Amino acid sequence: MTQTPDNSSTLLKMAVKNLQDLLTDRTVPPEPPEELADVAGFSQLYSTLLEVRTAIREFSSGNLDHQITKKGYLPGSIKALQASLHHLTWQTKMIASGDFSQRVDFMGEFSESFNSMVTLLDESMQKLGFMAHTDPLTGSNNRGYFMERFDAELDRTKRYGGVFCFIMLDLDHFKSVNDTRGHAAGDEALRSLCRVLNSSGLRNTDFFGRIGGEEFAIVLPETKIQEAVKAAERVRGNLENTIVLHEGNEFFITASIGVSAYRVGDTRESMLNRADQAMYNAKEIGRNRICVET
Amino acid sequence: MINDRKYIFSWELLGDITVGRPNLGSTTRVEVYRLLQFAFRDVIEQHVGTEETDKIFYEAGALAGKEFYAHMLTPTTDLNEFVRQLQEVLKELGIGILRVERADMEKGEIILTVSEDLDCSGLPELDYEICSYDEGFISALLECFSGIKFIVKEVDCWCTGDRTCRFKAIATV
Repeated sequence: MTQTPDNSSTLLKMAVKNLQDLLTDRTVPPEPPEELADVAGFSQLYSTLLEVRTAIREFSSGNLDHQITKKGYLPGSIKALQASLHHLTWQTKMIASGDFSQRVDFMGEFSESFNSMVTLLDESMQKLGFMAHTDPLTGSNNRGYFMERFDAELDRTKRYGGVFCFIMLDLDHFKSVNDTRGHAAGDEALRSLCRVLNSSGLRNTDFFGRIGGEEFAIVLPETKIQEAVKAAERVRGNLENTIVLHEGNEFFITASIGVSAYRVGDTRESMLNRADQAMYNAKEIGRNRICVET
Repeated sequence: MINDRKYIFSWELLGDITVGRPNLGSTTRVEVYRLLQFAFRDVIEQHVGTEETDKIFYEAGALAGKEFYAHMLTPTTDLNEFVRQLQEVLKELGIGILRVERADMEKGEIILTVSEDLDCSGLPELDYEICSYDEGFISALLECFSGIKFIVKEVDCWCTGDRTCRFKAIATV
């Protein structure tokens, strides 16, 4: 078709109107009239704008996977935004998997809020973890966490061989301390015992926990029974010489201790029962002493 | 294949820069790096053609990536740790800002982007992706980390109007 100046002007106006509609209409306008294909650059501009419009619509409705095929500054800038949103998604997934080192630095003010949230979440998780593993009165491992670690040591020894020992420790006359001096004094006695356990030369690989009211247990990895008895004796000796101070009053406490060593085929219960029995033997024959499993 | 090689790469060839450049230091301008790279690209293309040139740059990138992993990163089997180390060192050395969009190691698919890329950010717009060296570099880093060979393709590039370079890595097994 030959384009006269009038015709050209009309086509140009139509082209502008179609592009404007594409930017402003709520619904996608129908295909532009065929004659606009003759306007230089119109088809390319129209298809780019249509793709940009579709992409923005998809992103704003939550579909981050929408593919943008057009090249150039405008589609490129939208792809950069898409990339940022994808990074954010990935980083959020990493945080959900427990990686609290993730930080965002490409989303302006949002980055700051996001990073503060991750820091708080990290701190909260650490607190929760501590609370879940710790006996609040003494600060030692609680029963649940101690048994978890005990089981792990048992599994490790079963798999790789070797030896380890288990020590059961029960405060003597603890009921009497509570009855005569009050529960706060009893609590202080338990805390004193923990301080003694922490300062009696246990190794970094050894661990202990409060497994009952006045009952504590120690696991000594890679340790033969003779060495375990020596460690138990250090604890017993230090404890009997430790002054428990409560509201200006001083008193002493002692513990009866039973020791068992890993035997092939052992379970948590079997090791625990032998140490428990040994500990009761120590009670029966006079307290403040150590008995070894039979 | 040449038997009597003159230019076998070794990390030592990078030299002792502290001793060698006491006044000018260890950095130079990005233009100088690009001048070198694009001059090589031009001349190599004239000798061996476009396809071979891209292949050479990919392979050179892979060699550099392998050496870079060996000398600049601490080996790890944890993907997060690997990404964290890589992000830090690439940023520190002014190579680019790496971010992960997706990483599914079980499927062997990774999509990552590099912004402010040393090779291409700020280049005039072209109608083709240009970071073949980066493709090879990333493929070697991923292979060194995972033990799996990856084919890396740049799907978006500054040169094609995108503000960030996007790379898709697919495991070959």
